[in-house]
Amino acid sequence: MRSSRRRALVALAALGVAAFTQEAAAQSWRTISSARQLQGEQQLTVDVEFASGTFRLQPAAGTALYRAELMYDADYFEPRGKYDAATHTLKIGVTIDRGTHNLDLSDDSPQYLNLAISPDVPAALKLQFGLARAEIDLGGLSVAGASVKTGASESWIGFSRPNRINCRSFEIAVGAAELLVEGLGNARCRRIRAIGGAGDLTLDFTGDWHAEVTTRGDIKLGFGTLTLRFPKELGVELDIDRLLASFDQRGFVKRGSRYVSTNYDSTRARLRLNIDAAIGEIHVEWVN
Amino acid sequence: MKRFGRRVSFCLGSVATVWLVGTGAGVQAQEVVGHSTVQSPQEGMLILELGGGNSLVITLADGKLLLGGTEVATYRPGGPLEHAWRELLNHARELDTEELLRAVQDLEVRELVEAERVALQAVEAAVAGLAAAEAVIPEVVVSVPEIVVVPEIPEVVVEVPHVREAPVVRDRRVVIPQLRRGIAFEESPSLIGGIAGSAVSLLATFIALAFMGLGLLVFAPRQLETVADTVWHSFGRSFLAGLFAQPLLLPVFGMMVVGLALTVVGILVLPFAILAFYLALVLAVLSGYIAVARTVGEVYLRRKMARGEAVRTWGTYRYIVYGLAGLLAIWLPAVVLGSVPVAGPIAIVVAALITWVLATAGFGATIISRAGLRGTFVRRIDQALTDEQFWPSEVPGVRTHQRVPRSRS
Repeated sequence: MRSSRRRALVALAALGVAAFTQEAAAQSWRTISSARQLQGEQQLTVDVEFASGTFRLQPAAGTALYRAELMYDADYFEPRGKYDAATHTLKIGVTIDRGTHNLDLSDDSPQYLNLAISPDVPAALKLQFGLARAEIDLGGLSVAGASVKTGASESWIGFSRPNRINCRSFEIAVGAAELLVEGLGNARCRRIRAIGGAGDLTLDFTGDWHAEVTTRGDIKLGFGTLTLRFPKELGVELDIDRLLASFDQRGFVKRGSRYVSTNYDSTRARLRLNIDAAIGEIHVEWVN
Repeated sequence: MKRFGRRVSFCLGSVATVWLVGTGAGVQAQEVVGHSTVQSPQEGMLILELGGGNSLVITLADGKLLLGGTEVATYRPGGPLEHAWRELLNHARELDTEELLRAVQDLEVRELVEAERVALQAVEAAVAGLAAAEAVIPEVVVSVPEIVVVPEIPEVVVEVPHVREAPVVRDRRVVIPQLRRGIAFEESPSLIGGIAGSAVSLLATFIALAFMGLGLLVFAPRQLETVADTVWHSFGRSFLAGLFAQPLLLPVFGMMVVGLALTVVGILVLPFAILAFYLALVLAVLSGYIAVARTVGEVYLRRKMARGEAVRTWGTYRYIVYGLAGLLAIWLPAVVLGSVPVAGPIAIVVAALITWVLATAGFGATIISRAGLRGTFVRRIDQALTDEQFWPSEVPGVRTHQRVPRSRS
């Protein structure tokens, strides 16, 4: 179901572009790699803007502050890359340089950006993808805060291991995309915000939930499907404002205007979500 | 050349570029804190970022060795020096800066011609005095999560759907005896109940469309009339326009999504654009359908009046209400026969098909009339059937239709 939607989205995109596409032109591929040694930095700001292709982010091994490898089509895209040693800010990615005439936006476009950052430096992440696939493993990193904006893409963001530090907020904005965020229990963020335009958004709250912690979240959904995956040991309280969206109430009881998980009073870790959904479906899954 | 400059700026950013001359004297005790490589079919560039903000740029491009942008030697394109250099750059992505620097300093290439030997010596000289900076790993304070005191929620009456027995609140805990899973306990409705439910749905649809028609009549009466006239007088054209527009909706939607997403900046606008597209489409289809209903109602009432029957006058809205009643009456057989094995599906398909044809024509009329702003395909006043042009003119001796229109300005 999920993959068929993704295929439909990609086909839709391809169909749209095909209207303006003629015979594919020869492409000029460039490869750029970059790395920098740790120099005792106390913070790192990572600003990624990636228009099209595949983006991967993971923890860096060894003593590198960051390590990046970018392959892009120089006929259509402009590389964006700069490390400012004064502000400890890394800006990297590709932006669209010309029109989309003859541009290859297929699912198997070889354009990519692989980025690895040091787990030893607290990092603030600002990640923006247009028509790109993203695989972002934030597990084991020191994420101080993250903002992810994705357009029409299939993306995965995961906290495979607990965040090494507390993070201020984790913000996600999804255009018309399929986004799976896994392991939010490992994120250790005080606040989680997600805005979905159209598409499938799955938020998986499994992970290492700590004692006596209450995390708050705001989710806004325009059109599409929102899937919430909760671990059974987590107490969940939902305040849902929905227009034409269905809600699967399994595992919840109603207290006043809110839905509360049946285990809410017996759990130490709790999650409070405000959900504002217009049209679509809200699914809830309880996992061990 | 422009792209070359861009690529250099990619790696260097705002830091200054310097060429450290061949003797290596100027680079004594310089530390390298990072590196970047740029590769394309035409060139292979290595940038060593030095402590203090400077960089050493070594480029092999089009048979020339450039140090900091200045040509210092030549080589054979595709020859052993270029091959070795590209091999080195290919491995750079896997190497630490220290390992990479050592690899450059120890670069050995055989079967070089004299010019390439000079080039290799220039590279060796440029990196001779460089040393990788020692990595300084910061101490990360692995923080413990903050403790948040959660206020106690007062005990309240709990309403639980799909529960056999009422929940019990005990020691501030909600104890639910048995939760039903799924919807297996739903009973199938009776035949009369099913018909009544469908009839109520049909009535609700009628009321909703009637209210929407009233809204269109109040806020866009001329546009509604133009679309209705277009349907009446160009039904075939309207239907074809709607028919051909339907398969184009998805590509147009896709182009909009792709166009906005590619700009990255447009991602934030995307949800609003999708909402606007959706609303525009729904409005176009529904208003087209209502325009068709208006036309049907007008035809029906005019024929009734032509027969000399009395018709109450509450204006154009009467056309819409009668038309909607007529169009939705198509669904009555489907409502009544819905649960009958063969006749039910047939009635549903027939009603859906007729509704689709009418909605397509209405949608097409909305398109070709530019949402009622362009009256190209509406009915023309037939001068043979009207005496309007013979009405007295304010200009003596000149009939109305011969009068030259005067500007109102």
